[in-house]
Amino acid sequence: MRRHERGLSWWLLLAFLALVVAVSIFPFAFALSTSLRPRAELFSFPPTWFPKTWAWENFVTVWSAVPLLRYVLNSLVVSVLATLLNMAFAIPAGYALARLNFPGKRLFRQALLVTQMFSPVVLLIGLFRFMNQVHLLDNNASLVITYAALSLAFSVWFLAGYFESIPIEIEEAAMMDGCTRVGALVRVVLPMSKPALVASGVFAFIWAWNEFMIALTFISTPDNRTLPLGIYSFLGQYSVEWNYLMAAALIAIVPVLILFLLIEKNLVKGLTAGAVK
Amino acid sequence: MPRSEPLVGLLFILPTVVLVGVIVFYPIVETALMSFSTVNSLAQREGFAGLANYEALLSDTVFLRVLAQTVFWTVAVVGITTVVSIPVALALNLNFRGRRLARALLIVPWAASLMINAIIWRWILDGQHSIINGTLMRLHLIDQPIIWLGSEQTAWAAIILVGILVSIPFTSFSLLAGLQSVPSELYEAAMVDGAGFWASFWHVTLPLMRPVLIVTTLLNVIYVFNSFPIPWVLTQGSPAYRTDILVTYIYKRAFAEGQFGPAAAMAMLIFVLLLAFSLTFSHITKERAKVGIK
Repeated sequence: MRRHERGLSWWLLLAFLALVVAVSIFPFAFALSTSLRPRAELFSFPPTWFPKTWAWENFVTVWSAVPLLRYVLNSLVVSVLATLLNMAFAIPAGYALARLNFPGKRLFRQALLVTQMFSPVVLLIGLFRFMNQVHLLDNNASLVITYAALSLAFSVWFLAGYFESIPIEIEEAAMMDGCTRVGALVRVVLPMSKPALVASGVFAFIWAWNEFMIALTFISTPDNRTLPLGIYSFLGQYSVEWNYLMAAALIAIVPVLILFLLIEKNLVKGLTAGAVK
Repeated sequence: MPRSEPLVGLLFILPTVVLVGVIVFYPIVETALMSFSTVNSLAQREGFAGLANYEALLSDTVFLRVLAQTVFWTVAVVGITTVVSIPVALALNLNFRGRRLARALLIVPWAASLMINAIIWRWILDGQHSIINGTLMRLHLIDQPIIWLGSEQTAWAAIILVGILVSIPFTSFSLLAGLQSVPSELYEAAMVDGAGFWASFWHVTLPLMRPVLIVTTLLNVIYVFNSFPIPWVLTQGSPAYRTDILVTYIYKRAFAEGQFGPAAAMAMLIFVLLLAFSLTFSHITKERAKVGIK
């Protein structure tokens, strides 16, 4: 706590914060208000801030009015598999960076850092060509592999940083007792790294869950659409059903919001990890 | 001390090296090759083209304008976001009732993807009957509905506003973390010296926030530069490429118009531009020790 008196500057700062929070939250509040309107109220003029009839059933009917369940399942499968692949590769690599010496370590560290500065659009053209060559276009496997790879550098950095903070003596004691290197990693280091594993897994999941541009490029069959792509495809319809669109958008946010609040303390630390390290 | 176990070490990084090699480094090589080739509309290279694709860019007036638009967009969003986020971070650092709620609410635009943010704003601004038009007309601020996303100036205002709103959470949280690393003794010393809030902000807080401000700004530059979904969902570059940024323009050239050669040349240009930034970053890492966030 700062020992400022509650003078004018105190109130000015809080008023400014209130204004920024209000403007930031306004679109989501209005999205909620839209999602609870019957269709007839969407384009009434003058527009109203609140629905006249509250169509709570929209959140039920949206699942059958559009293939929302399909999109959600696609996104879940892609994001979970991408996260698992990401973790399976990041854990040993992060551990190697933290604990082992091997030729090319410096190069590996630098190369990972550089990949974080790449613009996905720079990769997109070459990646499209590659996925075409291996016949994975319009296949959700292409998204799993790509998402796992693009969040990998971050996960390795993040986990390496955490592993380094664990006292090495504990592992040495375990290895003295006959544990192998892999055994020490699995039985000693990983159980002690739960917060870091959760945070890096959550980051990989959210990244995959929210990704739009690559999915837009790779996926063409409606049945293969991930949730962001599915929501976007509402816009192409002859008459956009904004109430359903807003309901779907809010449904898409909920899991991320829960995960974000779960790892709030690690949020900033995580997002700047690669850059500051 | 790290152990010297070369084989185990290499084995442990092997999966990562392969995956990142195939999905990140190989496509860049492929894009680079395409940029020096004639490429058909199926993204297949058909022959060496020298610098033709790059030369084509210089005579592409749309490209040059989109480049200027991208710089404008990035500078405007990052600049305004930073200026807004400093007082937001200062406020979040104060001790007040509802602080947790304010933080939770501020996270929402960050948790929602860029695409979702953009799509909600498209609805808010959509057509004649939008809530914004209705409200402004009721307040008699405008007589006629404005098609906000229909003309260049108002569309840019909208795109930039959305860009700022989605960037504020990360920026202010990051600055807040930097602020919290400023030892409170420094404030107390300033207070004892009789410095007021603004004086201590200007002479103590701001200089100490310099490293975190630099890192946050550079990260924001990269994020904002790459924010494909915002212009894509709001205007798709209309009217006539006037609200495109480089990433959306490259996407259109490649995947809508089948011009993979020139698109690859643009992508390489971006690659070099952002690499220059990443080199700046490696300088910045020297500031690392001073940054509170690890």
